[in-house]
Amino acid sequence: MASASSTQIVMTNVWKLRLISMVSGLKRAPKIPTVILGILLAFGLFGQWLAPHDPISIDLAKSFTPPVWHEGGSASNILGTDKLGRDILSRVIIGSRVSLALSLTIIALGGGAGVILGLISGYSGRKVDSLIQRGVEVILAMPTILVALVFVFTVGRSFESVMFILSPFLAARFTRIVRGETLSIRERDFVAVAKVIGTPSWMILLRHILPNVFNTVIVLATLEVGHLILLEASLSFLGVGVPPPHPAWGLMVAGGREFISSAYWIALFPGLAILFAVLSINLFGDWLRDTLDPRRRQL
Amino acid sequence: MTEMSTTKDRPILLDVKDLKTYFFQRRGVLKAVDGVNFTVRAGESVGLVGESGSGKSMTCLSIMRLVPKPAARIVEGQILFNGQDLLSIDESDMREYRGSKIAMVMQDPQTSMNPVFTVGNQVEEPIKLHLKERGAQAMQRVLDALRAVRIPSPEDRVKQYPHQFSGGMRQRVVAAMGLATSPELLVADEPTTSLDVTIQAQFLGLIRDIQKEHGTSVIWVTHDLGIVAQMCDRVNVMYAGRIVESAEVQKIYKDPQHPYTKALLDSVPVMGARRPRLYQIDGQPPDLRSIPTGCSFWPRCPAAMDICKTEYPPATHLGGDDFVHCWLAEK
Amino acid sequence: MAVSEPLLEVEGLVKHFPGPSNLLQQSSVLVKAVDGVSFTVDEGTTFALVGESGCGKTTVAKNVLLLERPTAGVIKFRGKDINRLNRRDLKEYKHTVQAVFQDPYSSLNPRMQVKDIIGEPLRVHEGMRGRRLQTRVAELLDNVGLNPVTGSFFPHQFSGGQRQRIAIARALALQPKLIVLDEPVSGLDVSIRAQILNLLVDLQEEFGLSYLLISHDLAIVEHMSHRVGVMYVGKMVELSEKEDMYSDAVHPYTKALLASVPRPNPDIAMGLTISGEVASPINPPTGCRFHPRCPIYQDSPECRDVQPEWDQVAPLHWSACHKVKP
Repeated sequence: MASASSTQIVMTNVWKLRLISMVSGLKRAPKIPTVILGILLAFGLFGQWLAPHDPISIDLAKSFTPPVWHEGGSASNILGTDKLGRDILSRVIIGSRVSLALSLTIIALGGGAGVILGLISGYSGRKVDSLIQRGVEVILAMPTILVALVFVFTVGRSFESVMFILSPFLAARFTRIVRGETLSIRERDFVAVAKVIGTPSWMILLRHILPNVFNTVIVLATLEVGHLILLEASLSFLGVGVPPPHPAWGLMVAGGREFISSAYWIALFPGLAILFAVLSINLFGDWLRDTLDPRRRQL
Repeated sequence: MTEMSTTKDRPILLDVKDLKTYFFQRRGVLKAVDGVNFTVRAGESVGLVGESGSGKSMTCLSIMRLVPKPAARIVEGQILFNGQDLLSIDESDMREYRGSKIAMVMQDPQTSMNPVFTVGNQVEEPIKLHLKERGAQAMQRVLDALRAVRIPSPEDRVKQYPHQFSGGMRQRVVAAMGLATSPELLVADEPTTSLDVTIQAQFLGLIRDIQKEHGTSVIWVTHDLGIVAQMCDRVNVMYAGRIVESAEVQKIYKDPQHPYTKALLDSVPVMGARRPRLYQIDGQPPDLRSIPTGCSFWPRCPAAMDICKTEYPPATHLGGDDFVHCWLAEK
Repeated sequence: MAVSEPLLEVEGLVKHFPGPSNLLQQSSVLVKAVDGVSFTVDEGTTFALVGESGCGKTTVAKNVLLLERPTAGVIKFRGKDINRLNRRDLKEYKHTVQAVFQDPYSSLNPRMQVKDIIGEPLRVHEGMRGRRLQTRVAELLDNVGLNPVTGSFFPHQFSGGQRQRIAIARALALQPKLIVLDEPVSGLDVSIRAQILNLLVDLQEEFGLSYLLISHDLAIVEHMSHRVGVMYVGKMVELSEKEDMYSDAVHPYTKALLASVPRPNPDIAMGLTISGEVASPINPPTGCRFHPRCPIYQDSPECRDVQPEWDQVAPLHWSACHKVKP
């Protein structure tokens, strides 16, 4: 037990200490990933002002300009240009918007639905549970890319159709995992005590079960952001992602593929962007999970 | 126990001298065992009694040289087994002792057996390893061992897997594994905590019989003062990594010297005693990373004096092998 | 005694579960966890259910707490069947009956602050908020011997004994009449057990509580209870006042159980032990369920085939055994 003096401090200055702990918690956040994520976020939000050039304006005279450190590179196109003479740096910057917006929307929609379904499925048991689980199994049994190909070819290529087709897949994965967690937490004694007290079911779900599956949800979400960026890249690569000429990282990698031996920079820089984004989000997620857990958080 | 008078003069089998086992953690050094001295004579049953975190289990793991590495390390002391210091021999020699001269029964029979091998296979293993016996000869010994722990129809049972055994039966098999090589010392680390009362009584009786027959010495690690009273000749009471009192079992229960021993005995409900109220030891056992200076029990001790807060009391010898670490006894 | 109506009456409680089933078929075997158990708990007293694992004592507790529904039998609280309560009475019942479970690590939500844990029943039932809630929580923490300022801590900052105090404070919050104590100290260290047991005794006196104590520890049962029921594989075998149970037990199982406890006194040797395993509730023995282990069975066909009836062997003392008749 903490000594009387330290408990006194906690009592009188709870809010102040909470503020301090939040700030100091942020200080403990992993530096490089946080910085990278900050940059990406800035790109996504303020891309049109940050990009040195218009990402879709074509200038054939400048096509295949190498990055600035190569012979023949120019300072105005630091990372070089692609086949149509579009500035790579500007396209990577603007491209972050599509990649991030897409994955975050899908996480919010699909993940949100998945958490709700998983909680209900795990807590209610028997009929509702098996109904939801059969649905999940059907979705998980479908090959993602193939279904996406068929779907996009029928309804057309757009941001919305990618979102529409990937959300259920994500929801299914979240449902399955949240259900498993819920099943185990449901058996803990504090849930039994809540039932004895007469706490309504929705409140048990919200106050007792949800906060305890949150760790898992956060970890899953960060893993899935990375996964989604890659999936979007694959879809774009296959030509069913976000339609050109809008820059998306996957699309850029796909476009650079045929010039990989002569103009590697077209595919390399969006590829690196994907790598760093995915890595940073995962590391940031690890930290977030630890911070949200009172057992690991230390004042 | 009744044989008490006879074990006193037997030769010393195990002599633990100033044993220290520390955990080295980022947040500091955790002194799990901090200068433990005790002896086990041939055929003697010795209890190590204490609460969780008192260091009783870690003492046993140290004797087996099985402390969890690299977090924990035996930093000091001697463990003399028949005069040989177990801490100075190398690992391959230690393996000769483990399982053949010293056996261990752990708390949880579920995890101390491998679910994918038959019971026969598992009991056979120490026999193959230490007695270098094979085939029919080894199998005969397996059957004998299972019979010794009174497992009915052992011929059929050897072909079965651990999950086909009940908790009590499984603990007997674990005991059979340990006893198959006729060890001189059995370390029993809370072997009955997961068993029902009637099954526990069976197991205790069994160990007592085996001990009578083979003259095995046993170290009982437990927090149950009832088991100690029934099974031990000598009792070592541990608190915060040290033995605070060591005495013959009659003396401990009739005339405890250390305030902690007294408090412990008064704090358990005793059948038939009709205690109107239990004696209550206030506070918590200390954090082993920051043990109080002086006697580690003083913050909870009803008789604490000034000297208790600054200096750890030396051992006061009370005749025979008995001793107590308390300033009250010193005066 | 017991002129007034008992607080809780359990009459012929039966609870069967479907046995372990596999993927392809529903299991046809039944786990007969509780098979006809009756007892009463009087106001202000402690009734203890004691027995070994699988005897059904915890299932009885779950039925009383409405965490399970009985297969047959009735549980009455102040004369009303708790499984047929209307909405208002049900709320009232949940207000009046609380629980403290064995494992203080599992019974407190690790994500909630202590003041929210203790405050939950007050919020749910009385809609208490803000200052009033804070004052009441502080008062409850004080009742169980914890410093009120620890309310803003999380459960992991406490030791096992302190956590159990928090669980007790939560159970006290609504000023209940009956608290079900399911092995309340078996997860705790020896020196901490005395603190919790003393606290429970004090609270009983202070608030006039009734306890339904579930335990396998006969010494703790003797220390805590007024009446005791001994269970074996879903059946109650003996029921009496505590004093009678510990000095004049008549059922061979009760006797064996008492003899099996290692006494913390080297001069009192452990009594005769009984052989055999605790029977399984999946396929319980016919007749008297204890007969395969019974030291006085002597191949009696009656014991083997006929379930023994309750006999009153003394005032307020019943036993179910063919061999021991009044």
